[in-house]
Amino acid sequence: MKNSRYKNPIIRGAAFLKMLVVATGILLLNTSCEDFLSEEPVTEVSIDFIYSTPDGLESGVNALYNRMRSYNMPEGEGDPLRSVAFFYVATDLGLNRTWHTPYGPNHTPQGHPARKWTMGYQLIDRANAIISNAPGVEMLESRRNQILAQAKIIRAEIYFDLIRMYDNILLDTTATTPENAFDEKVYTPADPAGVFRLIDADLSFAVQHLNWNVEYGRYGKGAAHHIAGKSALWQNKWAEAAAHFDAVIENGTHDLLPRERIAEVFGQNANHKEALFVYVRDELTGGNDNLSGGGPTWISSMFNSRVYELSSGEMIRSVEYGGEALGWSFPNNYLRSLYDEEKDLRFTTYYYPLKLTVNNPASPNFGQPLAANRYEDDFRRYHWSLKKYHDTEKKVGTNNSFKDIVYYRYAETLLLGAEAHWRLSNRNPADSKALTYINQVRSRAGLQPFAAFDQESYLEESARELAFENERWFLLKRLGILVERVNKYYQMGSNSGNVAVYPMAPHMVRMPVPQSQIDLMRTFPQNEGY
Amino acid sequence: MKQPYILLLLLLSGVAAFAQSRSITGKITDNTGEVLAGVSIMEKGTTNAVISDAAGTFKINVNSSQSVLVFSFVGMFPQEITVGDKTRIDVEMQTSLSALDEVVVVGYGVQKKSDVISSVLSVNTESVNKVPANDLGEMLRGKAAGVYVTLGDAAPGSSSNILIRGSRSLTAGNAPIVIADGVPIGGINDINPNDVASIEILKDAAAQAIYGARASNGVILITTKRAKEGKTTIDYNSFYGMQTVRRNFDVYSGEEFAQLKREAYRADNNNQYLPDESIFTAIEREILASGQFIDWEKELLRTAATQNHNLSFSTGTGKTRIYTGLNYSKREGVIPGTDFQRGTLRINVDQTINRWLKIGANTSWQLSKNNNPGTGETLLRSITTSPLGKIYNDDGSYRIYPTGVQESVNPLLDLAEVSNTRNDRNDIMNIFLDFTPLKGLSYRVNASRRSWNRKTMSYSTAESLQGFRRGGMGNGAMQFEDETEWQLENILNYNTNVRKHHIGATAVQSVSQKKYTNFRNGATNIPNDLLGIWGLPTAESNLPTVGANNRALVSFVARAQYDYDGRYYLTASARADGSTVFGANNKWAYFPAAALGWNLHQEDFMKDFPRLSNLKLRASYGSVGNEAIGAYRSLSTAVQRDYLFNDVKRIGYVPGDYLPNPNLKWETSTTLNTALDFGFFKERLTGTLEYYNTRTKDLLAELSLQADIGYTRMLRNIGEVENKGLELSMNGIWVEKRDWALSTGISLSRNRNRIVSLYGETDENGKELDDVGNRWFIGYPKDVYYQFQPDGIWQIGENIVNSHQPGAQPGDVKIKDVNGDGLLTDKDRVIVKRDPKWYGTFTLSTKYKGIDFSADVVTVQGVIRNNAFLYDYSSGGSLRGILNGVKVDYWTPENPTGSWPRPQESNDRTYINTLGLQDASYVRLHTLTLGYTLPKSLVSKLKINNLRIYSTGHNLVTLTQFKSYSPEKNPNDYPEAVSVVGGIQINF
Repeated sequence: MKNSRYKNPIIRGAAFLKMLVVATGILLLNTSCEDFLSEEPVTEVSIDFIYSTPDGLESGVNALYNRMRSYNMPEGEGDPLRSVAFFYVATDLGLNRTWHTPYGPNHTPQGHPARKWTMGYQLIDRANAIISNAPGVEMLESRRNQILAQAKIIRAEIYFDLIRMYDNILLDTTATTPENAFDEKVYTPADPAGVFRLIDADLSFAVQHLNWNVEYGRYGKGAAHHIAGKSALWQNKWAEAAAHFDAVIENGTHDLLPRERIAEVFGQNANHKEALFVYVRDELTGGNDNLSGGGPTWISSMFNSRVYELSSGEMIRSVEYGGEALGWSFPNNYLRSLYDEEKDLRFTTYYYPLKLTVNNPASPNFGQPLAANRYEDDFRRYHWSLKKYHDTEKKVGTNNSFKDIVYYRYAETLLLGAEAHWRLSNRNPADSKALTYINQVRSRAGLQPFAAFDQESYLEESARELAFENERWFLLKRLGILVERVNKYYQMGSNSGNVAVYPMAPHMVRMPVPQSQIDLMRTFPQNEGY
Repeated sequence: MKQPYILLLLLLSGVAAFAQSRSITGKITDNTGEVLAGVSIMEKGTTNAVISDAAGTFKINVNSSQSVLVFSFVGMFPQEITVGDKTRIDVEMQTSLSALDEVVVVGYGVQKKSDVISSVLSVNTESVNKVPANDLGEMLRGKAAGVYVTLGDAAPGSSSNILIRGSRSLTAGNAPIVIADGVPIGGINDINPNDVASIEILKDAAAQAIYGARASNGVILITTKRAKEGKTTIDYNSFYGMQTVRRNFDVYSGEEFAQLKREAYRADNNNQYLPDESIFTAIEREILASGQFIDWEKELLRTAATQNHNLSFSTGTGKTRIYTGLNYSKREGVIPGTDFQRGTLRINVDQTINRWLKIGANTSWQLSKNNNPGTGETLLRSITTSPLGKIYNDDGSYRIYPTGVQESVNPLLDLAEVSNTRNDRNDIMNIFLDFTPLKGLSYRVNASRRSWNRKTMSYSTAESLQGFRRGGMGNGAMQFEDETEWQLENILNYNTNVRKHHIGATAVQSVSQKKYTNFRNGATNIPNDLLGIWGLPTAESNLPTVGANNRALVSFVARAQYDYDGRYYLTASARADGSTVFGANNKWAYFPAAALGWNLHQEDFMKDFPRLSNLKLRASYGSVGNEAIGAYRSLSTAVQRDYLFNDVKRIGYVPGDYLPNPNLKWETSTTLNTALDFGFFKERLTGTLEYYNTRTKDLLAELSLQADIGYTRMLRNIGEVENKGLELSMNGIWVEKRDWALSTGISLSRNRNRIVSLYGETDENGKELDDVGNRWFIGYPKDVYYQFQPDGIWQIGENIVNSHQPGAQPGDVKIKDVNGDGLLTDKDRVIVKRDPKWYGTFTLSTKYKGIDFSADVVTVQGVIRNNAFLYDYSSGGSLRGILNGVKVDYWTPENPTGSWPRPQESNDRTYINTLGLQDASYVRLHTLTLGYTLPKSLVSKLKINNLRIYSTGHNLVTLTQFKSYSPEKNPNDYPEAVSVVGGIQINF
């Protein structure tokens, strides 16, 4: 007590109280609790920015391109690639060695990748948000229409994809907010006519407002007409389809590359006339699909064999044979039988050479053709291989490729245009537009023109030109011959001894709705047969 | 917001105790006559306490002649002496191993164990420190009922996962909060185990209430050592030892793998074996002929050293007391290139300024360095890489593909060519001022700041696998992370005695804030290895990523405690918590708690049971909140997704995968806890039986959403989860003689977790609907597997075509048609529970003269885990003959009893992924220690107080069926070490 200034305990208590008030008040005198507890993100912008300003809306559209690239041409492997590769491989032109097994035991609601469905609807929601918010933002009408047209073409593209894959889908044009996310909803399949009404309306807006000449990487009027034509074909609206394809063909923006430049169609630079729409990638600004340059795809390694694993050791990883490869799927014998191997330029440009040249400098046979007895009957090591996704800039030790991928191509416009005119003329084999269009494709490949148009030669020409371009499966399904053709030609096997046609059950013409979504939606029926 | 202040004022104005204080002195000895320093002398019913000095003497001021002094010391029977008119009290303490009267640290204060009525469990720090690890979590394993420790990551420098009484939250964190000296710390390993004076686990709401804002998953309360007045001690502890691993599985040997490959190709080739030339590469055939197979595990793993050195000084004069602890530990990993070093300095200072003011500081500085090039892939490859290869090229460099097959990558390559170094700095600065203006009233200002930062440098050389794949370029990243957290607390305590009534009151106001920032620069294609990662500016592409978040908490707490004569206890508390992470209108929540206790053995009628030395009944009921979710989950934010147009980058923003929830609110856990504490035969046999039931409502749950909503997941407050359980701990002292002591202990815990409700949606029968999509089922634990049930292998001759799997082949996995409808549909999936049914510990310790021996056995029973190595392709489990893997008994036409499907090269067998569930129960000899304390007569000549040498084995034996290095981890996780160390403890 001697040390204390305050001898009286009451005075000491009062002094203490004073100190207490100061101590507790330091913080709270200056800031109120409400301010202290409010949250302000440091590194993320609020979504208000996206949907209430012109710059925000534009950034929202840019981001849709980023997400669409991942949706349609994802980086890496796994379910993302499976969800895409199925439609490339599982046609009458494909031979599958391993990895996934289309139509196999995992072609089930649990086993089939859910991504096309789940990510598709996520993208639709983001497009919905732009479409529903853009009209309320003060901006130039022309700028608004550019934004709307791009959001709408993306929404239409996804709905068109979903209905073609699943047949029974949901139709939702409302942008989700935390407030409306859990509104009462009974999950039932949408009327396909309603889905196509939305697709056509969106595409018609895009056709009206998009320009022919656009920045490399953007949707232009050509792509809009092309997709609209496809949608019309799917609905048996031949005249409309023909009109859309004619529009592209008659406008000069897009054209086939000439015969002497056929190698450039799938060359390193996809910024050419024949490309209607391209997914761009760039290694230096990329690394993964969230970045502007995107992540590396494996598609350039999927369809070619690992010649460097041939046991003679005379072949090593090299650029000309695609470097490191996966050899998961290949073009099949039926497809090969369609080519005139001597004359058809596509056989030598769209595919790797059948004969290999020894490329191991350590071999005494370096530079010589590989001896006939050194080709092994193991598809993993050697098989006739697709070169469309060949990337000369890909490092030989990796499957990773940053090559731009042409997603819609003028050659398809010509072929579909030919079909549309042929059907419009009540399948007149001599329909001149049909023949003109299809013969442009043949002539570019160095072949004689067709004198008559029929479905079988059309399917064959389409196969020769568009094999493994995400087109065949949908074409066959639209014509109602998918199951029949797949059961005739689609193969599984790893060597000539075990390769065989692999059966497809009829119900697989529709993809299974993902089990996870069936579980969540509760009332939505699974497609029949699963 | 104003009420808590009114409460503070009320407490202050209620102070009206005037009393004449008087001084008592005395000397304390043990039964052998040795003086005892460090004995706590406490005026009963108050916080007035002193400690005896080195000469065993003490001096304390007491209120009145009715005051009772309580003398207590670890390992001694406490004594209570009424002061009367004495001014000198000499005491002889009697040895006891009873813990009944030890002082227990509870939230904002200490209590005698007999006065504790909430669920507070004191951990025996001596047995904790027997575990030769540098992860305090691992050291806690099996040390406390209701505390379930699992291996987080066995790599050097990693932490364990700790669960207290099961996990309750569906998505929010389930980890307990760790409080050191009243301050929340970043993790349990921020504290050097040698500096720990006591560890308490707060398990029920009444105990947690005082730390409630982050206490719903339990509180681990650590008190670090402080110097004692008048006593100077120096302690030196050190151990050094070796570690190895124990593998509970085989991989296929070279011959076996070759045969697997032949079988896999045969199955694809119409049941015909192919010639070896068509299956194997040239190298593989060469190795098959020579028989020089590679044992990758042998090539990869090493015997590694571990060491720990600790030096502490403790000194106290009348006014100043300082404790200093210095620790250095180094643990090498069993995988070359992995190691962890940590140095810790702790200084705890107490300074008495005058009679009513004390000031103190607790500081800890910790530096650590961790090398770990990322061993997951390496370990995976040590299992999956084919043994039919060559490790080296002719020039002595590593072959990238030892067999020439590109799936089989050399696991040794990246160990040599990849580096990843983390440097952590972790400082805790905590200053407190204690005011005791009036008798019974104390006020503490407690301020702390914790600062953590981490520098991570990683680099893969041009020769590494990544470097090779990038065409001979280096790649790497530099990352800087920083976290600071400060807290300011005002704590007011008041205690008074009115005859046999003891009344205590506590009020706390607390505010804290945490800020985190992260900057990482990834560098792609560094042209050469000259500078390693410091060559980053020369990279072709540099990609920066940033992250930052802030969060804060404000809390007000009031607690009142009452007891009558040490017999009847009542505690009530209430708290208000505000957290930034919730929706704007739901930041605040209020949590009450109450507890009752009855010291039955103090009642007169219990005198008839002389063998019963303790019997206490206690019960508590109360709520605490959980806010362990990420920041900004109630706000709508966008992610950046740019794109290139005309090769120019344009900014893109889009809402991410998570749907924000502006209505997020606190998750509340309400616990009913009942317990019986008992002791027999003068506390030779003691124990606690405890039952609890925790109901957690408004669960913070991350839901999967229907695709059309456009967001994949959302955090919502839904439903209710129940955790109920029983905990029993017992200790018996069988022999307690001067030369010989023997005691055993047992602790058993079981916890049952059950989802009570989810969204409240019901079917036509009124039964609540499950959420199958999220794997949440009413009435089942929240963590379950939900999948098809394997039922053997299809055999040749079985009627497959007419079965529920008409497409199956002989050798395929047979799935049980659970509902018997003849079809295999999603209705045939079954729920499998994962959580342990019970877990327990058995301990034995004995001393004979200078020799001491102790062992503890830990067991966990009824855990099911999914082992990907039994089915997954990339883990080598799918029997493709491409990758090697964990050896199983696979089916072939010649081996129809095989329980795994027939190998097949082209594809994974369908439904092979149902074969991964394994019983991961285990029984483990956790520690085994043998020590020898040199006779006092010998060491005292060296001026040494105490000298003990010992050896401890850690994880020496584990019995389990789970095929891995540890029953808690998968085979590609860092192998859990089996270690043996030798050590020395010296006390001056």
